[in-house]
Amino acid sequence: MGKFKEALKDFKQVARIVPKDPDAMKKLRECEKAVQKMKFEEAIASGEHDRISVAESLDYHTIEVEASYKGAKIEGETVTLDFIKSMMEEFRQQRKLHKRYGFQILLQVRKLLMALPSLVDVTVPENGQFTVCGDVHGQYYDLLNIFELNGLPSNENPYLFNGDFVDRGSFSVEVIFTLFALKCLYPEGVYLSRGNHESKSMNKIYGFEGEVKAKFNERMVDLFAEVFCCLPLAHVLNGKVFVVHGGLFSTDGVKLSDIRAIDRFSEPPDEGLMCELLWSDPFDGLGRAPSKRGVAVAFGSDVTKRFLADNNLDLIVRSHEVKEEGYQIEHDGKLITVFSAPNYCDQMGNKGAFIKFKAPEFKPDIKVFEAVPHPNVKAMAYANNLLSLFG
Amino acid sequence: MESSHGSFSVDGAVQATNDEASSSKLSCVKKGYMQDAYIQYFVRKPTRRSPIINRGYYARWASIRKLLLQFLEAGSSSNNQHKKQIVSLGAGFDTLFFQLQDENHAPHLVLEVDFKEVTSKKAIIIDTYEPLRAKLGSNSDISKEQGKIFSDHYKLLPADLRDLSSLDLILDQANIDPSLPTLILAECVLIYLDPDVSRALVQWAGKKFPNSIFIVYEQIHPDDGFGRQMLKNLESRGCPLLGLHDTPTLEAKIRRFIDHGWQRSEALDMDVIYNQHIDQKDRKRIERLELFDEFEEWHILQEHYCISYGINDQLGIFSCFGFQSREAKELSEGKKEDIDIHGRRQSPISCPINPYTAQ
Repeated sequence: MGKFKEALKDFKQVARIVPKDPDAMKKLRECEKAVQKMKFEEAIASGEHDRISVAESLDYHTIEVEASYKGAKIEGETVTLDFIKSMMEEFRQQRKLHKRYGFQILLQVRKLLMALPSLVDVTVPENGQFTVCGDVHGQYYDLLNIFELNGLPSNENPYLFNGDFVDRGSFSVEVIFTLFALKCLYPEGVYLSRGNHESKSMNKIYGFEGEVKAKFNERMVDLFAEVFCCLPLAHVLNGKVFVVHGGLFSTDGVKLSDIRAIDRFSEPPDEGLMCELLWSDPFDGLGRAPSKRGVAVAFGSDVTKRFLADNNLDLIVRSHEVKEEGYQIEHDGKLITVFSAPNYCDQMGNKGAFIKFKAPEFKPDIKVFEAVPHPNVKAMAYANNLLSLFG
Repeated sequence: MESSHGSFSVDGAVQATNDEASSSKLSCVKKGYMQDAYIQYFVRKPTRRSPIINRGYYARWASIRKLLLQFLEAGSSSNNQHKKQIVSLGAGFDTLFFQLQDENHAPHLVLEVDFKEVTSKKAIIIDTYEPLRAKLGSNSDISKEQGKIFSDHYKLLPADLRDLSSLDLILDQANIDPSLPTLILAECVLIYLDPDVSRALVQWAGKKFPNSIFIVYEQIHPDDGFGRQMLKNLESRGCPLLGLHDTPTLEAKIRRFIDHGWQRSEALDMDVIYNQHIDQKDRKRIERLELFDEFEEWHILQEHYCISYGINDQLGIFSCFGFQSREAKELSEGKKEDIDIHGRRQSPISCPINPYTAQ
């Protein structure tokens, strides 16, 4: 926005000097239009902050549960392990959670997440273990498989899910409620990091909004958006391993304290540290390059090494990119991409992976797994449609 | 979907790919990727596809359109201009003829061929909607049950491409003159056929049309994760890609032409075509139409599709036809040895910059 305002000043000056120059006048007019458009968009955006938050105006106690509802129920104010197991089984059988409990979980997890810093320091006790998973993207049955292979999350078996829980897969609602409920039950057993798909604009296009509307209602769409804005942006494990969904930055010298200080309670902006944390990608080379995604940056191995050195860290773990084997080790072993959605979108044929760490060494132990079958749900707007190029 | 692979259900599944393609094309058009005033008539239930599908269809449409326009312009500067023909195999609900009419680019004759189940549906739709029927001209004869349309510049006829002997008859019925410059189009068609059949078809066309370009758009690379999954998915939908293992690479697509009587051949994958051979300005335009976050999938997808073409050029009007990739240009300028990816029967000729490929 700043750039356009500067340009506008310049064009106005040019127009003063050569008032009859049609090209100058054209450029001035175009610039004025662009500035006006952005001012308008800013105005609309700030209008949203004035809207009353769903969280603050919602009391789930007032939502009645019909006698005919036979699904999982939360008795009282907090989730229990029994409730979660029952809910997960209902989900597995493709049955729905009552919206009262959906709202309850969302309000509780929101409270928890809001209290966290934007960068969370995780302490894994000596001889303790820790599992990091990458993108899950609504692949609920593959998530269940991860829990089969590696155990349900708990305080003794803690997990970090590194963003992109929703969108693309047809079971995003099941994934997110499972993760949020587990977070409520085990705040120190489940860590959740924001991905670029935990945002309104992505959810509109890539399926989550549609799924929530179909399974619940518009209010829940809005509440999810609010809760996503509370998700922390990065984690550091035992001061050694930096875990973030996307990657690093367009500038050098970023410290962990800078990340901790980010005001994250908004939709991801289209530039700056918060944007880059969620959107950047490593590349095989040195320095930086424009991102293929049109936003954030591609960063080389020297950027990784400098960041690690500046912050006394050993390793970066990130996700955000699908990998044929479920993971990829890059930047001379200083960066690992982990992706936990196998056979992504039912098309890619890739494997999934997760990383297990053991304190105090924190050497990454990578486990690879294949996709498991899932119910043949009628295609969401964006599932199964890679087939459509075949005609 | 039936699990049996009796030929009837497979044919049905292959025909159904036409409905999906039409739906995807409409999704593109509605989002502003390209213009097509006619595809809407062929789609019962408009569905919005994801950005990667829209972009994929745009890439396919734009690259084939580029080659098509080259074909139509070829030899147009000479004094001895030739009437041109297009034969579209497995055309489905393609609206090519109607679009070209609007653009004043329509060749002398367009013949579309597909299964009778498809051509009769197409004939019904064309007959039903005035904007379509009007384009046929006053001299048109539509038979809905037989799935046939005869008009001055557009013919629609049912055929089974597996029955080569019937194709000669079809060409006669359509008044196709094989000596005239002809563009033969096969988009996602040969790949569903038994490889013996597609080879025979390519051979038949090569013999029949001495001044022609045979363009094939279809898949490659069955051998990686994506390719294997693609094969599995289509198999489970009942329309297996029978031809993919026989021509799994660009080289194999070229050899299919060269080994079966065609003079020259080239093949490029869609990732290269999209990045290097589509008009850059238009690419930038469509990339701004939708938020796009499917980059790995996009490259993987595009690397699994290609355009290959065979050229017979008795009249010498197609010497500059093609994407004019660097390799092809070097070959034609005698700067490179005959490398695997290209085959040539005649000696290299120098070629001026083709206005359609100069960026």
